[in-house]
Amino acid sequence: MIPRQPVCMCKYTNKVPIPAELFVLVDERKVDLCLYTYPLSAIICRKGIFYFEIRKVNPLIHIEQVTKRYPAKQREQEVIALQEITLQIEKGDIFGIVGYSGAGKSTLLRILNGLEKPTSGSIHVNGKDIAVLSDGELRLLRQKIGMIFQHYHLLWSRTVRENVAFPLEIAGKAKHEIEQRTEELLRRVGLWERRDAYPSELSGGQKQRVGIARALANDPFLLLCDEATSALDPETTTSILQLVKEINQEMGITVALITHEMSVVDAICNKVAVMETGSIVELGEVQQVFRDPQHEVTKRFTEGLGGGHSA
Amino acid sequence: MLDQVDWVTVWQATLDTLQMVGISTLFTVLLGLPLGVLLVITNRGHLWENQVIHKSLAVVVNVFRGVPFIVLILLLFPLSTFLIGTSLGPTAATIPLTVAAAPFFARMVETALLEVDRGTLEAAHAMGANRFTIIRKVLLAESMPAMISGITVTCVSLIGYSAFAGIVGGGGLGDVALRVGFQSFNNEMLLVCSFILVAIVQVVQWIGDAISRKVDHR
Ligand SMILES: Nc1ncnc2c1ncn2[C@@H]1O[C@H](COP(=O)(O)OP(=O)(O)O)[C@@H](O)[C@H]1O
Ligand SMILES: [Mg+2]
Repeated sequence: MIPRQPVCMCKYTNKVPIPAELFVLVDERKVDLCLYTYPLSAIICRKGIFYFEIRKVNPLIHIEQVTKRYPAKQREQEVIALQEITLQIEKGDIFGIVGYSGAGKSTLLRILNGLEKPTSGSIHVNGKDIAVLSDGELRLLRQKIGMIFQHYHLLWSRTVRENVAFPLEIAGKAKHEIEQRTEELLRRVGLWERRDAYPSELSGGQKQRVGIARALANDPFLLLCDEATSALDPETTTSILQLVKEINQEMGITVALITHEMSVVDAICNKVAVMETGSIVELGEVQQVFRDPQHEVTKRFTEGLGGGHSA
Repeated sequence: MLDQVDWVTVWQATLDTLQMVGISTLFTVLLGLPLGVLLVITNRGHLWENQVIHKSLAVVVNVFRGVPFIVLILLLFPLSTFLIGTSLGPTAATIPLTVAAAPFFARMVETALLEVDRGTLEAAHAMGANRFTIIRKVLLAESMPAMISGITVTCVSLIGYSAFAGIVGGGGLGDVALRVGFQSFNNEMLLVCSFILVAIVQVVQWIGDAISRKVDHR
């Protein structure tokens, strides 16, 4: 959508939030404005109709030049888990991170919620630099970022319902609110009937559903999935992926997911980053990457999917 | 049969032993639990890494565990005199018993806590839990079965220790078994006292196992 008479065009870096004066300018002077925010997109404002569309102004997550080194220990050499990673995740994305074991995928994900601190580089989540957050602020942020794991990491000592209640307890919610919310969540993931079971009594897929309900408890804006389907059989994988997709679409929760299976990316992601030894070797829209893989690793990953790929 | 047994003495001795063991188990847990938690969370890469505290605690625990119990009791009796004015009787005996058993229990707490899945801890971190919540609702809650087993083992050990402590002034079944039973050639008394000690151990073990099984949902 291009305004008929663009009045001003300015180059603008996405590191700085859009100043409010610009909107005032649009409101009061009734100018048409096209603000180009490299490399993302444009803000388009139209007079008269009093309508403006802001797309992709600030990416939800912006990682710039992030490097993570694990210092050498007695026997082990220094590990460079991430090497100058730059990427953006936009609101609403289902962002796939693919790569072989040891490529640095988990480290990248853990950087997003501050479980790991980068050696250098900056991470902005929701426009905020997470490096400057205090411990308390970081914990509050984490309450708004759900995470699920390959091995679920549920509490054995708690029932299904108590597991889902845990993040709500952390957030200091009142008892009746916890009761109401856990019921809602367990009904949503289809496990209300098993609310009093212990995790050990559940199948893998059911455990992951509990993990998802738990991750959603505090209304996160972002869901991190670390190989969430890698321990599941194909059918269960499909149903879990379906659930993640619904969550993304219905609740507008952005998803970043790690996998070593391109079929998972194919099934639900719109963007994908391919990693090898700490670097992103390929990054882009899933369809684009699948149609025309550039890097050797990407080719190997996409091979198995066959040419008859449809998205 | 058993006509040489002075049941009044046996009954009193049983009560003394139960009192010694009960109180010292309670205080051992109260003292050893935080000690064990501290040992774990101050370790490298854990919740509250602090090498100075970790190393010093480890040394203290090891010293106390290295000294044979009977020697420790003898060394610690003056402490009872200092704290409660006497080194005689079951109450006085609980002090050396507790001091001797707490480091032992702390190590068991440490082992139990280390068995908690690292991934579960990470999940709690990812949910934004603070340290206190993680200790209480993840570390301690998740290690409950091992913790109960630890308390059981400690309690059983304390029953054994209490017999020693009884001999050097604490009273109780150990004392009666030695003085009335062994030294006065009253084999029946010796036997009855031993039997009651074994029975107490057995009951404690049963109860411990039952609770441990009940809280174990793995
Ligand atoms: N805490 C750590 N200490 C030292 N090395 C680590 C640590 N965590 C990860 N690594 C190393 O960083 C690299 C990337 O690990 P990871 O992000 O887990 O890879 P992936 O998830 O892609 O399998 C690996 O070589 C791994 O050994
Ligand atoms: Mg990984």
